[in-house]
Amino acid sequence: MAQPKAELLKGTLDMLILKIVALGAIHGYAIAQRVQQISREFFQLPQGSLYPALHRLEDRGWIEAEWRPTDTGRDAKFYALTKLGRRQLEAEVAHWERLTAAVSLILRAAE
Amino acid sequence: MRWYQRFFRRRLTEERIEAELRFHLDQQIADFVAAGMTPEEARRRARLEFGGLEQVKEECRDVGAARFLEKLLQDVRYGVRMLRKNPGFTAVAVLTLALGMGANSAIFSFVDQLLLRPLPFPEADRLVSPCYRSSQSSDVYNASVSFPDYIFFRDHSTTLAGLAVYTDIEIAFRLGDQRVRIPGEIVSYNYFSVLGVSPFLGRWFLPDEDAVPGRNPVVVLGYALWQQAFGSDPAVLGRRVAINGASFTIVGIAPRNFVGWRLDRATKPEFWVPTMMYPVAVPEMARWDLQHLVGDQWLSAVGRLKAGVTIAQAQTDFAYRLEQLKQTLWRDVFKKTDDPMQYVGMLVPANEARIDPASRKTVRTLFTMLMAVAGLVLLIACSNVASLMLSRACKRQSEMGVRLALGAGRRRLFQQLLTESLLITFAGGGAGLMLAMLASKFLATFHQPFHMPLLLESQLDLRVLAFTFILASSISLLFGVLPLRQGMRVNLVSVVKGDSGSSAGRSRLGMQPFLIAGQVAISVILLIGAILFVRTLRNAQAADVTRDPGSVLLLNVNLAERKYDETRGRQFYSELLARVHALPAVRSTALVLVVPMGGRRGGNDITAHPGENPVQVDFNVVSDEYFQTVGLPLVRGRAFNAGDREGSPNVAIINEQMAQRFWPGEDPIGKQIGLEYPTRMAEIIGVVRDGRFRNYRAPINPCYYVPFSQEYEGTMSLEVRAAGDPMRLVAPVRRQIHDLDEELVAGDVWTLKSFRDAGLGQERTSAALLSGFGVLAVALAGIGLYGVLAFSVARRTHEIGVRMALGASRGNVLKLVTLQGMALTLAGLAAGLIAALGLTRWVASALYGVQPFDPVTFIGSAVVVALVALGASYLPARRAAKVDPMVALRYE
Repeated sequence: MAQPKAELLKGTLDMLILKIVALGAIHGYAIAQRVQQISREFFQLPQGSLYPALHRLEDRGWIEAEWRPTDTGRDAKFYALTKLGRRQLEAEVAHWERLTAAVSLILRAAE
Repeated sequence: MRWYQRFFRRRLTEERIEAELRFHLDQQIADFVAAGMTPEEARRRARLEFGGLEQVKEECRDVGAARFLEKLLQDVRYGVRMLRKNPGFTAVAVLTLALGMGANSAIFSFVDQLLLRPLPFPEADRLVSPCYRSSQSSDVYNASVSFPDYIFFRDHSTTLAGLAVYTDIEIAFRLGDQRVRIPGEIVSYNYFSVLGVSPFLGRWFLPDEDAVPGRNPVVVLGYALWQQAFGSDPAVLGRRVAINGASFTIVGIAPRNFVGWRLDRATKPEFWVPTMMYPVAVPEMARWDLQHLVGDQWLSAVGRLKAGVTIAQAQTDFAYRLEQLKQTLWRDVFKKTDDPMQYVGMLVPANEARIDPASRKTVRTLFTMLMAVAGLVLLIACSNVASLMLSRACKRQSEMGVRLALGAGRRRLFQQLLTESLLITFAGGGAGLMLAMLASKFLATFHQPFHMPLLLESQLDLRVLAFTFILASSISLLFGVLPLRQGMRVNLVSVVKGDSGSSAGRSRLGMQPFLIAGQVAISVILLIGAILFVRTLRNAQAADVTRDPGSVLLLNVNLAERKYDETRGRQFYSELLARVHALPAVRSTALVLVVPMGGRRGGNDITAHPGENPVQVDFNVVSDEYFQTVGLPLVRGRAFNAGDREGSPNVAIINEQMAQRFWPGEDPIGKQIGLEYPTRMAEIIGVVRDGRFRNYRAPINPCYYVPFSQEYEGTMSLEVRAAGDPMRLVAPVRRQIHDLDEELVAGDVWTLKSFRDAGLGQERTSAALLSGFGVLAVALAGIGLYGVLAFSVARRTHEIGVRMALGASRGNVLKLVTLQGMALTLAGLAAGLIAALGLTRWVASALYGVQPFDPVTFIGSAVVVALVALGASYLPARRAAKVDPMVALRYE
């Protein structure tokens, strides 16, 4: 069971990150806080695993990063959604909805 | 981030990752402290929640760099697995690509050598080939000049920096005990300097060595001959070799690969001698004063433009010089009405004159046809690959759908499909390269591919290989990634339901029917072409009246070369005939001056009735058993016999055409005709069946034969009809020649059949290539059709099951699928036949004895293609008919 769960998680995590970044430029720590807020009850996620995901999304051009000072004056890496990322987010949300629809269809059919 | 930015920032990356993660941890610690933890506890907790710090760093670093290679490797492995899982698909795709690429590369490399590639000389575009064009017809060229013509143009031209002459010769070469015949060129002293070539060793000829006939026996050897005969000995200069029995001094060695510049010859020249050595090098012409003889145009010319002169200026100058020549030297030799007085001077760029200008048009037409045919095969290959890829795309659309649904990136899937397509393309390209090498070797073995010998190398052109490769790979890539597009369109719900496309896929054949119909159309066109050319070849061979030409051995015996006088020559020939006749397994043997179907004819003026103007007719000189040996039946009178000797009354035998033309309704036997050169009367003693002389297309002319005992010729061909394999007679016959004169080297060995077929190179090349391509095209179209129908049946299993459950019989199903295939075929056939009607017109001039719109050929081709298509449709139809409705429905 570990493998499919991780796979599912990976895609879902990307979608979650995109969704969070879509709300406005935000740094890694703040994203981790939001993810934790949303997901604490469903799955435990080491905060570190967020960063490879962020770098992967940046590498694909879905998000872009910029170093600038936070409120406290310290430099932090802020992520923002790109146009490509917005399209990707829409597509993933659509996929997600279709997938859940399909899964519930199966569940209903199996009854 | 752009790739170059990424490259320059690589060193920064490490620090940035470090800083970003440090910021995260520091923030977390600060938050925990703010929430009331001790700094120690906060730090421990933060590290714990973060997970493995080093591992995260590592993963971040890997995002850019390692990803590419790793994924590529994974894709290749996956791709190879997928291809191995579908060996049929892979084999057909690879083979199809290979055939398309191979055929095109091979044919183009010949077009390039003959027509496109610049000559391998410095400033080759400044070289020109002077020739005469008849003002009466733009198709009649004479690319030959006489020696005085050459001297005139060379000394008077104001636009040429140099003009040289050359012609092909063959000599008997003696080296130690070995006697061989080798090809070479007889050239003016400045030949090499005009071309711009330096000797590998020694020097070229001096002007003085080309000034007096027969005075300076000097020779330049070719690099290969020097290697073979002298083991590349640099001390060879100054040594002597025997050429036609005379001693020649070696003055130079030509550079490696120097073979002159003309391609219309059968063998590479291996030596060069000065023009004025013609009395020794070309013994047949020894008795003429070629240095001053204006009428004998036996040389070809090549010139180099002066710096700054355009070809148009040089052309004007040359035309003007020719007019001058007509008013001076030529005026005394030619009558106003003679052909040469109608000539117009022409300069052809040497790059375009590698083959005889008169043949150039034919060669170009035929090559254009072959390129077009190869192009069509490439088209079929590409459309077949496209169609195969499409079938696969449909099969894999649910796989793609599922993988997309599970979160696989589109780019990732795209890369993977790309890798698979590339694998196929590369395998096809590799196989295509091998095929092209084989094909060009095969093409280069054709003795005379275009009604003339050609010096062609079986080398491949990399540019065209690259071109076909790029074309084929773009096609296979384009269609290879289609599954992704279709996968994205697919309805996820139906994919997850396991509904792999009973209803969803039915309309998804898309462009495949067009591809298949197109293939059928092209294949019927090629098949029609193939049949037309095969029939042309058959008709051309049938034009030869020789009975069983395969069992007649043919050898040229050149006595002029040995400087025999007439008495000695006659004696030699008579003794040779007697000796050969006495050999076992010899049916009959004869000598003949002009061997029919070899492109040559003998012409002479005759007077049939006293007081009439002389008329030119064909003539030949033969020995007694000639008609018996070739199997030309005597229709009236008698053949030559031992009674027709030198000194006995002159006799002649004529053909039916001549009897018909000069003595219609009369018996020509006993009539006297006046012959020229020397002028004499001869009595007609027999009439033989007509036969063609020059080639199968030449009209049958009136022709007379005289016995060789009454007209001596220094070079004759020996024909021997064998009781079994004529090749078994080669050694015994050569031994007899050697016994009679050990210095005499007989020419190449032929049979009358191989000699005739050598002249049919163009017909054989066209017939062989078109049949090959035609069969290939039909096979590919069949495979394509089969693939599409098999795929369609697989997709419609459910529908077929329903139909059968509702009462459709197996026969109905069989008919349903077969009709689908035949509908495509008929559409393709109709298009192909219409296109062929338009296309065959272009090759009409190359056809013989068959009309370009020959209905039998058209209908036959269509029937063959239809039958193949029926077979290709029947197999999937039978599978469809075997569908068990219960299984088909349960499968859903």
